[in-house]
Amino acid sequence: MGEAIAFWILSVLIVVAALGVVTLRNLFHCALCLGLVLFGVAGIFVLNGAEFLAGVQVLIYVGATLVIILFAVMLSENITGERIRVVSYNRPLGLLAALGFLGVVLFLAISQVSFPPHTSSLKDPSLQVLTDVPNNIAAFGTLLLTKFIVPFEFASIFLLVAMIGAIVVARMAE
Amino acid sequence: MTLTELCQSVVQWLGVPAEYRDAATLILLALVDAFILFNFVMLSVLVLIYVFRKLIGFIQARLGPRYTGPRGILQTVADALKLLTKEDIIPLAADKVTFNLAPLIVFLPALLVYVVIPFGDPKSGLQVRDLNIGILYIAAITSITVIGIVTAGWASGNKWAVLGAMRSGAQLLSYEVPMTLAFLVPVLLAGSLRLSDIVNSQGEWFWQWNAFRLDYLGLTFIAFLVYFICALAETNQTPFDLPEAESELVAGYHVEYSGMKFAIFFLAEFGNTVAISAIATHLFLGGWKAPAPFLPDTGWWSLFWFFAKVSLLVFLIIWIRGTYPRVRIDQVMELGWKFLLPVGLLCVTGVGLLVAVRP
Amino acid sequence: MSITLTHYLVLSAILFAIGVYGVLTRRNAIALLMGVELMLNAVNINLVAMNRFLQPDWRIVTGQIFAGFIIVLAAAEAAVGFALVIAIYRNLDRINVDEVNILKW
Repeated sequence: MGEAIAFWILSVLIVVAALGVVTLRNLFHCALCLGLVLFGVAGIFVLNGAEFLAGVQVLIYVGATLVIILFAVMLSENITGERIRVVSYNRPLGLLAALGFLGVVLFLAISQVSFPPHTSSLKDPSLQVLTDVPNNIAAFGTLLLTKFIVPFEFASIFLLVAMIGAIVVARMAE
Repeated sequence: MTLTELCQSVVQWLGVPAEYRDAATLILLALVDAFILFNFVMLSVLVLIYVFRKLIGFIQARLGPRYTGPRGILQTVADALKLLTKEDIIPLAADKVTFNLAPLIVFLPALLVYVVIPFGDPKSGLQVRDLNIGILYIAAITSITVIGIVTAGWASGNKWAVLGAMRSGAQLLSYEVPMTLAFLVPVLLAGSLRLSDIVNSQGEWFWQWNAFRLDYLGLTFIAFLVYFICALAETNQTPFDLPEAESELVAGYHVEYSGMKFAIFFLAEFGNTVAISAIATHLFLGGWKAPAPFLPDTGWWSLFWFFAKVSLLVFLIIWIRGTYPRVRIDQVMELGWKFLLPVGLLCVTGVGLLVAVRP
Repeated sequence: MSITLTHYLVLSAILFAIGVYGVLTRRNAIALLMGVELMLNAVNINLVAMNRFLQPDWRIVTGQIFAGFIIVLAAAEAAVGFALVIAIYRNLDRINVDEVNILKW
């Protein structure tokens, strides 16, 4: 019951705000709508028992990525505040492609395909570390530092590379 | 009778059908909690502003507010009334919707942060929700403030406001990084993100609290200092109060705001001041615990100890505000990235290593 | 009516389709990247919902970990992407992606 109410509120919020992101004329308003979408997705994460991920979503997406977007919007319009108006192009074609994609996915992938349950269980040697974790946050951390340690380290290096790259690119003019 | 039971009986008395009773209780409880928190923030800000003006007055060898009410106690109320009745000016160049929205986006996190902060021993029901992601929730919610500030600056349609918003946004974003690193130190020691677990992981005596314990080579105290400095920057307190530099920088993101909307920005700022003191109390100063085990710290006593520590930290912030000059924006950024970030990393690495090697 | 996996999948598909529409119809580079963020979020909803509904053991959170990696990579993508957009804007004074065509000749 509670989940149903929360789900419907969140999905309406997400879809309406997402439509705002792709149709509004004012870029800053688009970015704020994107913030609403990100919040809604964080709510969906909470509904699915991923509280840690919801916190990360708000911290990184809303607190950092969205701020970068807002900064980019402010830097790319003249600082004296002449608003950029973004217009959509090729609207019928884009609509056709999006609706076609949606139709195919809804019809084939969701109504025709049945998803089998995962076969991995705690008997798997790489997952045995999870036997007595107290909660899902501990499970997240344990799994990240045992089974997924290589991707985790790769992600760290990737972040470092991206940071250096962003600084170099942004200061290229000097 | 706890609040939950009270809500249950109210729902029963209202005659809600049985299948909706749980949902109705939850919603009613959430509304009551929100009401209490809102009033707490308002009241604490009311008191804080008076104390703040009096203390700053004494530091600067003057008297502060005196005339409204006995010893000037009603000065804040008078100011609030004045701001409420002022004309609500929206600049012609402003973007109306976002201009009105921005103060709300800034104020909301200041309110939401209190959801996970215990006002005393949670066993006595002095906490709204003991979330298992407690400290991550705090970090996430406080990071929303930046969006409100950037929105305020952009929506004003004024280049000074945009520049001020850029300044504040960069400052807040930069100090979030060392602040999160400082958060990690108590989390490492407690092995949990839950605030009640973090408080319970600290000992009975005051030298066993995270800020004062010596068994981690004093790194925890350094983490406390890093957190405190970052918290000052996050809430625009002196020496980082660049948005208030109206004479040299044409103020900050809120230069176009007046009346009640301007007041909401300041409400959020003072609310955040109490919030960061509360967070520092829980993470580093033993939360609601008494400084010695023979002193009582259960039930209402926990409330007393919590507020005693918070008041001490708030006093410290006001003292700093009355003492230090303002720093330049490049100095702010340099302190954040070149000093606090390496120091924070050192603390996390050192404490992490010590936690790992100790049995 | 209880919420099933299909509900989340449909929500995610709609969000992804909106993202596709945004990417296809916008010319402004920033708006385009926002469409990409929408698509990434749609994928994350899928991963997290599938992890919950198809994995009976709550301790195995592989889907959440993948979603976490996507969040990290999206942050990196945004940092580099917007740095590029700003660099292009400063050097060429263009923000629309189809006007940045100096490599065409």
